[in-house]
Amino acid sequence: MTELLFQSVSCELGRNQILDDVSSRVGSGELVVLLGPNGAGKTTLIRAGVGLLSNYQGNITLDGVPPNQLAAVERSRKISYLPQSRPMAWPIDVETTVALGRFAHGVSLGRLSDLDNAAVDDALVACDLEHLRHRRVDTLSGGELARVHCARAFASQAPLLIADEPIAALDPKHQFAVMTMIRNFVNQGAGALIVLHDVSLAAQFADRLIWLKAGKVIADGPVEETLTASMMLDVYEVSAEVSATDGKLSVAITGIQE
Amino acid sequence: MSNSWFIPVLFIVSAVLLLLACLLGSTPLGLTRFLATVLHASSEGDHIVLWEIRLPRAIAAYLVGAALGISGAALQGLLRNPLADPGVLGVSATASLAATFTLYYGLAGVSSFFLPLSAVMGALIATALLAAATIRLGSVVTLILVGVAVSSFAGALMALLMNLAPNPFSLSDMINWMLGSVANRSYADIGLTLPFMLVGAALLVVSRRGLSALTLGEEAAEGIGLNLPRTRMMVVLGAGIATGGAVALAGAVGFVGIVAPHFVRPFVKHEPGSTLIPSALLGGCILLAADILLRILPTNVELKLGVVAALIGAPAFVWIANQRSKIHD
Repeated sequence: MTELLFQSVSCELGRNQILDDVSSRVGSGELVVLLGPNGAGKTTLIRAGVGLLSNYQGNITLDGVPPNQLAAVERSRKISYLPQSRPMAWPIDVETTVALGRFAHGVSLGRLSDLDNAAVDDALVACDLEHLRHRRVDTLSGGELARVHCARAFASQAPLLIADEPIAALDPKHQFAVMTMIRNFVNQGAGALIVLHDVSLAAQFADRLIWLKAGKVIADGPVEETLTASMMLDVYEVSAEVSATDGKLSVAITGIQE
Repeated sequence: MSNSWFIPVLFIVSAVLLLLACLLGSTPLGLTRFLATVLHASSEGDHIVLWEIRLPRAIAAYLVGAALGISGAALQGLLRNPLADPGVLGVSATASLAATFTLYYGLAGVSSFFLPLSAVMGALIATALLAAATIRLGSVVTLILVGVAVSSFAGALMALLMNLAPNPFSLSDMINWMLGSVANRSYADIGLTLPFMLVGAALLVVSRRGLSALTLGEEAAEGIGLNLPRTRMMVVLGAGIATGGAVALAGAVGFVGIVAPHFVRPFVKHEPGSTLIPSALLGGCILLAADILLRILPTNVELKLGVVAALIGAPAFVWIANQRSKIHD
């Protein structure tokens, strides 16, 4: 059981209040989606959560220890992190990229243990990448590359996944494929905190939604309880119709409310 | 990772080039005379030519090429940019400025260690400046521009020193530094600078896993467990010390650090950690081959090694930059 806990976290960058008294948690066995408009503080919150940001007030603990006080290697064994921008500097192949996910386990590329190889193979299978194993990453489509990054995160076998917009700029099929992979990962007992902009997709896959606006948590709870037309209005300033099909909620935006 | 024959082939080429460097020159030493010299059965003259002139010169050329090759490969990995190179980024120019400064004030006469030390200090200052600029600005284009600025600033100060040169002899000394050469290097010169090149190279080799992790970008690299500040520090120190040592031995020689890793990359599947050792070997080969070439060219005045390296390297730089833009834009 791994748990990432935020307690009254506030953060100022310059004169701007980015996070304002945020309290929440993510643990094993749940897929939590972080929602909110651009500039709401989502990225800041998860960067603080993975220990890459230290100038905050309040408490963040990963199994009882502030993540920014953990050694990079220890932290990475508990959380795998997919940042928003994922540039690949060199055209290495898919297998090598996924093997980088084993970095925190002391892996030197080209010298993987059986355990590492098994983790890489499992991740390649989970993300349907076996046939692309030896392809160079610069020859992949955006959707294939997104799957490679997911596989890289899965290969670390960390119990918690934190991903910043993992499906940005993907077509509907690949969006669904990546979300399904993350869902399967959580169904096997892991935890995930995912930033998304697609509220309907979030409603379909998430166990819980955290609604963030101007650095404040507006709501934090199960999809059925928090996804309402008035929440869409409060958080995104849009009028929307929320409807249910087969027990899953979906949202249609009908206009902008200033 | 790499093709298993690649490194052995580079070793064989290195050995062949070292042998050629001993045989060829203004007075070609045939194989028989060469063997006689090796077996201590030749004239005094041949002995001096082989052991005191050609061999140290060849070793110096090879070491300088290797130090620049590995520094280039590591800087490219750290900055995630195939155009990074100690020469292009002004590291060599700053190192040679510092060395010239030491020569100018006669500090080199106080202790022979002052020269390599000041070259290393100059290289470290430039590398640290560049690393700081990369962290702040993050853009590859800006980095190259900062490098150009560092380079021309060092060049301007060098011009000032030359302007103030007290006599023609110091002036010609300084020009030697600017142009880069391994002519007339002794074992003592090599012994003085080799420790720096070795320590620098060792720091870089230790950081190779971090360079591989940086393929994913800095944020993701930290995410998979890289201690980024430490890796940055090690690479900056390693590249600075190795380049400083190389400059102390040969002056400013450009472009080896960019050309060698570029040709190595396809053979190691573009994996940045695996480019270090082969880039060192290939860098050594390139510079040694260039030095052999300028020695056998029938010119009245021997060309400077740095000039030959730039004549070959500058077009290669443009070619690599052009290829890069095709891939990324």
